[in-house]
Amino acid sequence: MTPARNVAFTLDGRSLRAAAGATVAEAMHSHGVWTVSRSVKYHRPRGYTCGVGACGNCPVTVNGLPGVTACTRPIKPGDEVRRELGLPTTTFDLLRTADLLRKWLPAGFQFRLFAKRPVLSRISGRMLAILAGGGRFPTDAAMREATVASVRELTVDVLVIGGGISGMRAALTAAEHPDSPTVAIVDELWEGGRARWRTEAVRDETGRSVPSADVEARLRSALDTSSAVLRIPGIALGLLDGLVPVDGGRVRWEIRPRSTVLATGSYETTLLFPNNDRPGVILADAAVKLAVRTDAPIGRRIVVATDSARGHQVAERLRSLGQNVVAVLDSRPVRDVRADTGTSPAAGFRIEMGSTVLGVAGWSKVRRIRHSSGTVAADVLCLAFARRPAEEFALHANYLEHGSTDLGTDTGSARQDATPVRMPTIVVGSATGHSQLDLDDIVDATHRLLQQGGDDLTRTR
Amino acid sequence: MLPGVRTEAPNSGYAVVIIGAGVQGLALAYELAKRGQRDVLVVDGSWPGSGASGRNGELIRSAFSSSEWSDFFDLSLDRWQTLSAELDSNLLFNRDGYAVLASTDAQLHSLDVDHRAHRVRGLRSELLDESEARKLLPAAAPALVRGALYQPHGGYAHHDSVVAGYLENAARLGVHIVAGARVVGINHAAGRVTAVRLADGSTIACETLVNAAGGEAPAINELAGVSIELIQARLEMIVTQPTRPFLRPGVASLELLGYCHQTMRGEFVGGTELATVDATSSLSGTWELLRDMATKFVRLFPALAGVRLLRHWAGTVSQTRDLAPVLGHVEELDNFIVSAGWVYGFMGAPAAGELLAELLLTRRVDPRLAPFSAARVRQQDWIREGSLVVEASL
Repeated sequence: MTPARNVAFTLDGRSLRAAAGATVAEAMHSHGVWTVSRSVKYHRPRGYTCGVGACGNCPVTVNGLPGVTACTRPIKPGDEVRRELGLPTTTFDLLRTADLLRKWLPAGFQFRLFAKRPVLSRISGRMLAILAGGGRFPTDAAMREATVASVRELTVDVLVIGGGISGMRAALTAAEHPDSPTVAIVDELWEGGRARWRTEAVRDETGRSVPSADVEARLRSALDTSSAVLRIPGIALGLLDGLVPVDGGRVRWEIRPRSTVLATGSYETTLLFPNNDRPGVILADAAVKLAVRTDAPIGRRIVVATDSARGHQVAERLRSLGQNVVAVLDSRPVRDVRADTGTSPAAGFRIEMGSTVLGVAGWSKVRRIRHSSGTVAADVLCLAFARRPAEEFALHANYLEHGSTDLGTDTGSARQDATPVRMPTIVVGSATGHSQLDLDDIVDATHRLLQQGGDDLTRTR
Repeated sequence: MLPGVRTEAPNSGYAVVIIGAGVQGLALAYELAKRGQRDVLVVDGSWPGSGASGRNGELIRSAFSSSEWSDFFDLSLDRWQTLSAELDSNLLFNRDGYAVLASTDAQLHSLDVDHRAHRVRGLRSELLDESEARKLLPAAAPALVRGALYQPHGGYAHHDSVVAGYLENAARLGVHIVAGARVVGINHAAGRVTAVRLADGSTIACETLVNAAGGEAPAINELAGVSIELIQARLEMIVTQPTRPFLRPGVASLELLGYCHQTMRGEFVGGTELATVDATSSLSGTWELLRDMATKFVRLFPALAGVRLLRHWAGTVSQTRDLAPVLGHVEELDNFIVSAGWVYGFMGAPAAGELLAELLLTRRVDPRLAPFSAARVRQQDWIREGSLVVEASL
């Protein structure tokens, strides 16, 4: 049942309503506003793409604060949302002329332009600055809101970064350890990571294959009833000299963990083809997430492009959510797709094997997809391709010297007077780079962390 | 690899070997090649511009207190005006001015003294009073603006463009540039350097060796058996998301020990220093300095509150006790030239390249180069420069 839309907000001055709990991006999408932002230089339309705040395509100004990630910010009653770039408006932007002239304005053109005419160089520089920095300053009210009201310091035995299935499993295992270590777990969105949009099964603690949403629900419920794990809502900013600062909005946490679990998950990667940034090109997890959370059509006609069985599973999942999937384009050579993907013949969408996406057409959104066996009319192109681990924290933990190949587990303390502190760390879940999720591996790794002080990160990678 | 950059030196011997493909090493290589010097090799343990040259504050001025600094950097500032044209490469030199900000009467008074000295030496600078300075920097907190020493023809340039510009021109003129080759040993005998040894086991003979290795210059000196008091220091910087243009000139704040500017793309870029030197080599940013920079810059430009941080990094420089560079020959070795201890190395590169090239080719020490000798460091004959936004530990 479509959630009731009872949260009033404004978008560029227009009064609209959204469902409670929807993000700004979801609210815009449900009102048919697919151009969420414009690219900085060419003013190309950009829209909802990754759904997790990782791709940079959806910055909007909310209540006077620019640069708010629309796909992770829940809409609140009375929010004033304004899109940022575009003259006169983001929907109708004359500055997109730069995109039409892009053949004569290639990347880095400003480095060669006016090399011998400093006055023209300055004028063009100033114009570029105005075009690029279109975001206004935060208003005074937004600045006050953005100012941290309190700082909470916390020392904890185990800090789990990431509240998806892997993180929750590690946190619960750590809390159950006979030594009763203090455990905290931090996550920005607290929606179970990608568990509810994930199509691949998970192997639980006994090795049984179970749907990820079921595991998520079970672990979440265990976490809810556990008083031994501190749940922190916020964004962990890094591992800096043994300190993990967490941006929790008005609260900043400064956490000094004695050991860490990196359960940061993984990113989906896009496919390279012309106009792959057009609104309507959505990564697979993001598309399923949008369908699940908005319980409304995410587009009129959806095509899934993929190079694996996952794309077919995603198409089936979308179909079961009532979405109109019209085709799956699988780039692998022709073979027995049914056996390989486990999809049923009654899936109801066309499957083209050996078909690669060559490009999309459409001025402000996807209208038509060109692929190696023809074209198909569609307004959503869902991409289910490779994933890459979210390894930023692992790099923080390892990166000591510029160019160094020494991947120790020292925090590489930058202060001369401090002794380097070894930070025992493990990496669990898809952040390891492995796609198969086995909960017993995570339980084992957590025990290793508590008993032996974790892993040499060079070996787990 | 970048065009013009190799992974191995084609020859086994060169007339000049320069250690360090940062802006100093590449500017010198270019100036040598421009003067017809052949067989020049620039060798770097990492990639060109990977050290401070790729991480600095980009600011350019010549309005210093001491005559030594002012004369040297004024030559540089002159070269900067036409460098893009000369290198046929847009270095994004933004001639939007440079202001040294005074927040107290005492600071304004010392800038006034500097300004008078500039007038006497014919160096272009303007002393702005409180209202003029506030007009120049409308976004700055008025309480922190008491006055400024302003150079309208100063500004900033894009560091990567400058490294690339020098590199391309040096390569075009026949300089060999090798990246990813660490120098692990320097052969020397009877007061002369004869060759450098690389990590891959090869040995490159040289008639003249130049140490332009930035943060690692002290280590290179040690390999040559040369001892000059240089310490490695860590500095950090931040960049914010682009905002609308609010700051035109580059700014150095004596009060905050910081420097900053806003790029053509609207990003606010700057760094601050703590009073104590951090001599470690980690390139990771620290929480302490991140908080220091964010706090100070929001104090200086209150409108930055709530603006997002985009990047935060650290870099290393080598510095002398008076924070002036060490330039020129050393006593112990006849054919070893040092270009190190640079804390303001980016803005000084055009002058250093020119004057060191002249030195190398003619053995003539330009009067502007002379004060920065290795001898002054050894004799502790320090240059007193009061207009820096780094703490000297004299």
